[in-house]
Amino acid sequence: MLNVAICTLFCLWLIVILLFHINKLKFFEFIIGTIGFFIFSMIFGKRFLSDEITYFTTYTLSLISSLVGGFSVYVEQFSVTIQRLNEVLSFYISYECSGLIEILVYFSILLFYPIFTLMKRIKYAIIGVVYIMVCNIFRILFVIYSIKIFGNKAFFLSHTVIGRIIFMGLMTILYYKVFTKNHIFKRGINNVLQGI
Amino acid sequence: MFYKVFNQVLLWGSWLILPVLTEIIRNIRLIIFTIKHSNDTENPLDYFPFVTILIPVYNSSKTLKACLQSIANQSYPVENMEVFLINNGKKDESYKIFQEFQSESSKLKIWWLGSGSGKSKALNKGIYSSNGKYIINIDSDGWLDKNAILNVVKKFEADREINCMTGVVLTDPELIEKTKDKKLKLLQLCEFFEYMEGFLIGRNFQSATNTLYTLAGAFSCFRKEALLKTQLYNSVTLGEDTHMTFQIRKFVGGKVLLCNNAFLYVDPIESLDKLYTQRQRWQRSELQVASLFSEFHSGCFLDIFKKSNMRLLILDHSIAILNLIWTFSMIYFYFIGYPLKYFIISQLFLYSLYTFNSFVYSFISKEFLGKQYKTKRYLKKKRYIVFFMVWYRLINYMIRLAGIINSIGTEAEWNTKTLSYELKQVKEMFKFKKLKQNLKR
Repeated sequence: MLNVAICTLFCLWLIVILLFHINKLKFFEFIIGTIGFFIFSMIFGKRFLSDEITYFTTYTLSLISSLVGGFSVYVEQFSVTIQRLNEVLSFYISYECSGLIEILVYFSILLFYPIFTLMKRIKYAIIGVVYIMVCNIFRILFVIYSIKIFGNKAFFLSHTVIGRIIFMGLMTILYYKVFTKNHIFKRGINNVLQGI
Repeated sequence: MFYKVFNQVLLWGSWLILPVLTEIIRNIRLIIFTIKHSNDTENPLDYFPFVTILIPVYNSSKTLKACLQSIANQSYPVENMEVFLINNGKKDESYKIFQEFQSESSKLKIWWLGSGSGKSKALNKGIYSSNGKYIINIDSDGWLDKNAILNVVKKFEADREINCMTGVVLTDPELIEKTKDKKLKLLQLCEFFEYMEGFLIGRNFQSATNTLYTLAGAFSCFRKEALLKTQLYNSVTLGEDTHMTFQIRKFVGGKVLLCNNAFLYVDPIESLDKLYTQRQRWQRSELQVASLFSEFHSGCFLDIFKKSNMRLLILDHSIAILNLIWTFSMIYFYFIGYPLKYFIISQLFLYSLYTFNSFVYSFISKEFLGKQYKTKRYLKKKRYIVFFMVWYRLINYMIRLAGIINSIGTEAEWNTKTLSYELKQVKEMFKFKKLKQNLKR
C-alpha cells in the first residue's frame, strides 16, 4: 500500500516538474525537483543502496587497516574495533556515516542546477561520488586515529563535532568547485552578465 | 537521549547552524573592536570643504521635498554645499517641486540636470558637473539625519586613506507606523531590523576590517579625486553600487568604510512582490560583480583565509545551494523512524539559536544608533520582532536562491517577474485546459 502511494507521488512529482519546465518557471522547477528527488532517492536509497555503500565503505577501511594497521574492521557486520592499551571501542558504520545522504544531496542539486549539459552532469556526478566517498573515509579514519591517540573519551568530540567540521569543509570545496566556479567563473563574463 | 538528539541535530542541522555561528563569531569580534576603539574621538572640523550632493530623480514627486528639506536643515554650512537633481526619465511633478523649493530655500544651491535614462547615466552627469571635494549620492526617497553630511566630511578629513564610504540606511519608523495592512507592517518591521543588522552589525564589522563588500546605493560618499580614477558608473551590472565599490578597490585602493554616525531614512518596502524583485536583483548583481572582479572572489581554496569576498561568495552561493536540501531534510527524521519529539526538539534548537542571535543583534545595534533617540525608542518598543526574524530570513533566503537560479537563462533586467505573477502562472498551469495543452506538448 505504501509502495503504491510512493509510486503515485513519484509520478505526480514528475508531471509537476515537466509542467514547470514547459512553463519556464525555473525556480519552482529547481525547488520541487531538488527536494523531491532527495526525498524519493532517500526512500529508495535507504532501502536498496544503503547496505551496498556501507559495505563499500567498510571494505575500503578493511583494506586500509590491512596496510597500516591500528584498527580492525568486520566488513560483514559493518563495524570497526579500535584497541588502545586496555581500552576497546567498537562502532558501527550506519547509513548516516556511509556518505549516502551527502551523495544524494549532491545528486539532487546537480540534477536540477540549470547550467550543466548532460555530459557535464554525468562527469560531475562521477567525480562527486568518488570525492564524497574519499572524504567520508578520511573522516572515519580521523575518528579512528583520534580514539587511538586520545582514548574512548575522544569519540564524541571527534565523531560529532571535529570530524563533522572537517567533512563540511571538504564538502564546501566540492560545491564551490562544481557549482560556484562553473556558474560564475567558467561560463564567461558575458554569459553571467547577460544571463545566458 | 541528549547525546542522541544532539548528534541528530548536528547530522541534519550542521549546515543550518554554520551561518548563524559565523555571525555569532563576528558579533564577538565586533564587540571587542568597539570596546577597543570606544575612546577614539573625531576632531571638530576647522574648515568646511565644498560638498556636492547628487540626487537621481525618477518618479520622486512624493518624497523629493522631504529629501531636499533634510539637506537644507543640515548642520553642515549650507553655503558649502551644492545639490544636483538629475532627472533620468520620468516626467512627473518633480520639476515643479524643485522650482518651489528653490524659491523657498534661496541659500541652498540646487541645480536641475537632465540625463539619459538610468541611474548610472544620471550619476555620471552629476559627477562631471560637480565642484565639490566630496561627492555624496543619495536616493530621492530618503531624508538625511541633521548631522549626516558633517559626520561624513569629518571622517573623510580625519583619514586621507578613506576614498569612499557608505552611510547607514534605515527604513523610516514613522512610515512603518502609518502602514495599515498588518501583514505588510510585519514585513516592514522585519525589514527595519534587517537593515539595522545589515548596517550597524554587518557593514560595521566589514568596515572595521576594511572588507566592506558594497556601498549602499541609497547613500554613498566619495572623495572626488578617487572617483575620477575609476571608470565611473555604468549599467553593465544590475548593482552599480557594488560595481563601484570594486572599481574603487581595484583602481584606487585605500579604505572603503561605513560612516556609522551618518544616517539616511528611506521608505519601507511596499509589498512582498517588491521584496521579491529587489532581493533577486541584489543577488544577481553580486554574481555579476563576482564574475567581473574574479581576482577578488576566486583562487585556490586556501585563499578563503585571505579573501573576505571569496568567503562571502561561498556563504551566499555554495553553501546557500546546499542549505536548500538541509533546510527541508529534517522532516525526514520522522519518516526514518525517529520519534516526532526529536524533530520538534531539533527545530526548537535551531529556532532558538537564530532568535538568540537576532536578540543580540538588536542590543548591539541600539548601542551603535548613537543620538538617534527616536529610532532607539522604536527599536526597544518593537524588539519582539526578533521572534519573527527566522521566518523573514527564510523568505529572504528563498528569494535570493531564486535570484541565483533565475540569473541563468533569463535576461538581466531591473524588474524581474513578481512573485504574484509567478504564482498566478503556477495556478494557471494546473487548470484543466492548460494542463491538457502542456501535456500534449
